[in-house]
Amino acid sequence: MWIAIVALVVLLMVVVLLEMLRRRRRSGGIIAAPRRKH
Amino acid sequence: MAVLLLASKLVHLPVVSVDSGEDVAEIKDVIYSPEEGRLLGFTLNKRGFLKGRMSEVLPTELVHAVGEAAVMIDNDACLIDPSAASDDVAKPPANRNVLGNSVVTDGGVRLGVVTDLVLELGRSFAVTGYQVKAEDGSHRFVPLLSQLAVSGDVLMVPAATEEFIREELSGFELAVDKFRAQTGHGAGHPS
Repeated sequence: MWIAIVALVVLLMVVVLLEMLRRRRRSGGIIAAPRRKH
Repeated sequence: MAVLLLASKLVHLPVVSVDSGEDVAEIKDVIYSPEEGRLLGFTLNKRGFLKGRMSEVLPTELVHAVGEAAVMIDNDACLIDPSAASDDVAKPPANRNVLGNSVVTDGGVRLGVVTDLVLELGRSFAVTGYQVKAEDGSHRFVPLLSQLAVSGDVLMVPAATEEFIREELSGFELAVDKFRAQTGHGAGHPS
């Protein structure tokens, strides 16, 4: 019984972690290109 | 009349092919040249819940149109391999995200923190200025003419910029035109 609960919690944590990583990878920004040397 | 648009509205917009009518990607990063005052291109995400970053990029030259709901391209071939794109678009430096950067004049006045970039659709995606959040919490629009420097966390602008700051986007285009006329520069031709 306890093993099942712990396994479920760990699984949930992994899913949340993966979703956070996915959002981090997908999040966008506004990027300034480096200045060109003349 | 040109249409002003905040660049953050483009982030996460679908990229739709005119040929197939399908959304083939999603906008991730908006890349611009502060020197040239124009948009250069986009990095992309794959479409779908568990999908990540897409290796292909989209230079602005290959954009068919930009609307409120989607960025349109002619066909899938417009999403090109980074090796075929300019370095600025292919390898955008992650440490040059301007959101959250301080805007400081060369006279030493802090104008606020960048919250967005103002684009002008119709004139080859010109970048006309920044939306900044001032110390008092209000949002203002700062014209971009030539930027003296962009470091990791500070954008330096000429002191003359202060006079042309506007609180509404509606009067901003006129302020930018006046600013450029006064300093003798057209859009995209900084000193």
